Amino acid sequence: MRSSSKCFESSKKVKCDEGIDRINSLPDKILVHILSFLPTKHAVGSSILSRRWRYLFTLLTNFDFDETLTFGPNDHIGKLAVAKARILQSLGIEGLKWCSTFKDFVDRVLMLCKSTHISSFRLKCGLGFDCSNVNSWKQVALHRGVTELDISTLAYESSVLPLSLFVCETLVSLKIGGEFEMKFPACLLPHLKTLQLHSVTFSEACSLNRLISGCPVLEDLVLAGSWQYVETINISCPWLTSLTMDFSDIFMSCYHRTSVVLDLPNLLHFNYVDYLAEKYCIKNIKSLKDARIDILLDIENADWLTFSDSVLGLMNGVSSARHLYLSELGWSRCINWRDVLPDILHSSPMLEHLVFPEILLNRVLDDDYEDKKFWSRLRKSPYCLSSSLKTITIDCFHGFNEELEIAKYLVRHGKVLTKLIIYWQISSKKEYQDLMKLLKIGRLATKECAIEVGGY
Amino acid sequence: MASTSTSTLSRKLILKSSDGEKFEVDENVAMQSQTIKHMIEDLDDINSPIPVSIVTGTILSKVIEYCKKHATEDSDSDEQLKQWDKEYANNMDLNTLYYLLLAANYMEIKGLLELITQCVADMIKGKSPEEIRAHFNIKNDFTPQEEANIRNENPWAFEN
Repeated sequence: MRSSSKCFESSKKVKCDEGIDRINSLPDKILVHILSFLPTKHAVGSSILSRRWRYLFTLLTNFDFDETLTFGPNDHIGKLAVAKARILQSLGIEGLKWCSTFKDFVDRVLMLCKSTHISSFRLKCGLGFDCSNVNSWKQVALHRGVTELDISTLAYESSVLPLSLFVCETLVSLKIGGEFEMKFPACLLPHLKTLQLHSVTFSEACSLNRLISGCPVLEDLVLAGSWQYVETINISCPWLTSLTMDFSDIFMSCYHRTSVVLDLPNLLHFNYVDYLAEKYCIKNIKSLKDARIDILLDIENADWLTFSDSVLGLMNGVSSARHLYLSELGWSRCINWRDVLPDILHSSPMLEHLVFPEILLNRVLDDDYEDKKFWSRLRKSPYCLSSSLKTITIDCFHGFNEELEIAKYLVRHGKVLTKLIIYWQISSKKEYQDLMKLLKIGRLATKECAIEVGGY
Repeated sequence: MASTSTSTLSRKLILKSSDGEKFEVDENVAMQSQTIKHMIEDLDDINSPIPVSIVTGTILSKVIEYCKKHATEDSDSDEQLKQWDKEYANNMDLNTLYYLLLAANYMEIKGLLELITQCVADMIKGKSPEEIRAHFNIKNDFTPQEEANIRNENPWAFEN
């Protein structure tokens, strides 16, 4: 049996015969596997390397056609050429040639494909691309038992997806992005586990929930981009473990939905970015691992009172979360923390990790009534503080007296708290003294709980 | 001994490389190779060395290093494991990568095959045909006319 020093010796010896054209002697299967990690443009480009590589691309079973692709991240000249071609294209000059070479490319590669099975098919088309062939390509993929399909386009014209897409038995992952109208007389995707819909539209009779109810084993759902003017989002799905609704699309102006209705008994991960809806009805979420909630800032309607009930509805729905991340964007301006913090703490018995943004931007100075109401609701210590809450992060801490009192409360009552992280730009002697006072409290003083203070 | 483990629960197997070197490994380490898994099922006496006929000792020791890392269910997070994989692959010279590819393919170790093929694909990414040929020492055996024909067949593949 060998020792490690010998291993080093022999690896040096191997280096000597590096001159040989060794990659060419690898079997087809391995070389095609290597090509499968490349965008199809580059995989086909490898046919020019040598005779050995000439037709390897015809053995590919996964395709990644990206019309917007250029060679190499550092190729500025190439990028400029593409930018120029695109401007010309948008003016109707030379554009046809550009489109047709890409079309010919996809047509030819699919025609030469020797495999009767296609495992994954990704197609990304840029602005101004004529999508007329797209459906026929999708048909090819669907007929050859594709398991992963990812189609996205930046084209303005709306197009309809082939009906066979909605009854495909082999699909495991489906991602659709762009101006596609979801229209389907029937939907059954028996093996679909991942579904991502980016800025698509649904025709009247075909709702999101109808699509989802045709996916009996769906686990991961992502809704993203612009879902503007969709008044109600209604999702009910027994096996779903991960839901992302990220509507932070730059083209979406402020839009408050009428309602968000969720019934997801097996959800573990919830990621939500949107303007506040008027009403939340979140049922059956029993054991969330993590929830990330980011409320977008509505500048014109920055009155938290309008939405304080809906915030509570949302927070109650995710109260089983063990990790709760509340990002800073719109929260502080539309929510009065003194109103919702006691509720979040009281209603989240399993909370282990809490991240929340500035507490008191909307504070009314010396508002005794608000102050008393807040503290009376925290007189009884929330269960999570004494049993589960291990780390708390407060972003954008200003050092107001009220904030310091809340921080002190959390430290005093946090029986299992091991870390407090505060983002606090300490700039005066008073703030420094305040921090020193905070350090003398409870588990911070005995160093059972660590504190980190960072700037922002 | 090239590899041992403190675990007493797991059975030990002996793998024998093409050049006759023997490695004692835990069964759960060796079982990451589908080929070995199938061999064990057919084997009467697991104490006799299992031949890994096309893999040399040098390469087999590296394969075992990978399998050991991926067999232990310790506290390593996915992130840490990914980082380890990256460093593992980056420390190999090109020749070792070729032999590892052949070994992973023969031994049917899916994770290792994915890791090394991805690593070679990353070397191809963003390079011109001339740069790829130089990097992998590939001899261009086309005539200029043949090369021009290939470019004409798939013009979009060669456009910037």
